[in-house]
Amino acid sequence: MRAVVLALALLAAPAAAHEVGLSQGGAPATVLTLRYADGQPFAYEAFELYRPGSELPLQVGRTDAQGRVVFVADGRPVWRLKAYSADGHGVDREIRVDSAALAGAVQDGADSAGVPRGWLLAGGLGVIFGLFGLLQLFIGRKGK
Amino acid sequence: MHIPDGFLSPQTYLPAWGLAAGAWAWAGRGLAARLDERLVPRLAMLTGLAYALGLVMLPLPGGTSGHALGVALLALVFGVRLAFLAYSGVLGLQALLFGAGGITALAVNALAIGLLGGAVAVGLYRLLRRFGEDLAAAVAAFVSLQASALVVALVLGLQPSIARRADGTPLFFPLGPEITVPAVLLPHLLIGVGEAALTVLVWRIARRKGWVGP
Repeated sequence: MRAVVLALALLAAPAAAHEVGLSQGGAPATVLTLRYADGQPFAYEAFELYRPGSELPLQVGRTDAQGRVVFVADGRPVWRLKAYSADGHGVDREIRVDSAALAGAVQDGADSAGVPRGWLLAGGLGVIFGLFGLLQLFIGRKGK
Repeated sequence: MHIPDGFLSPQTYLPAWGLAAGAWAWAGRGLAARLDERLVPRLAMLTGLAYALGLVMLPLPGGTSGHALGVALLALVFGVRLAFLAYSGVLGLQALLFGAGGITALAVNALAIGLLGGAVAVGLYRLLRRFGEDLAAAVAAFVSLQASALVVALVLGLQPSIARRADGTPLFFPLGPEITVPAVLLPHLLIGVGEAALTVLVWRIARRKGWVGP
């Protein structure tokens, strides 16, 4: 009987090593949202999140249905996010986690600097027509 | 189809910049030889159209999105050299203003989309025009888009073989060609139909107005 109890006690320790513990708690998280240019979420796509200078990603996974990556920055201000789809869409960008992001604000992965898309479109057309206008002026002067 | 920054290894984009620099010089000489007061506003108009088309994203099956290019149209109306030059400018603007495509990847994007796309469009059009001008333009636009998409997919898919860490993990784009080729090509089959229709529509107008060059 003593031998059986001893055997059970010895087996219990390695058996416990197969368990996975779960604890629940709150921490200020940073939410990055990735979208295609037409507003569709960059959903269920692969991402890797790196600390600066580290080749080992701190977090790997897939964006959620809303194209979000959620992580806890642990007070580190600079991160690098690499997200990609099989068809070559994606980003490889440095992320700056400021106090606003730590407070739960959402950083948008779409157009840089938050300039409305229509303004950027108009600005680009302005550059194209402006450059060609200059070229036209140059030809006109050369012809005279 | 525009490859973003961080997806290509320097072993890929540095030689591409060298190649593109030579191609831009060649295209620039082509522009200089053809410059006149009628060409510039026409080229500006279709370059502006190509730029705007690239920003009209259409949702596609599979949760991704795509857009028409307008490269075949530029090439059929103005020739390969001017199309390559104009579309390189479009790619540069899209990268700078929208982050659509990367600066480091600009040369690869320009060579694959602007130069190869334009050359395939013009070559196929010349080959097929005896069967009808519209049919030739439509097939040229469709196939030129697929050719560009295939090269972009192969360039992406080759990255894991080109640059990897000591432990074998890829340093840049991590998926191989067996994944990238179908993932890039299949949506572009659908986009190609729209690209062909749009090309024929504007191509007809350009021909009627006498815009089509040698």
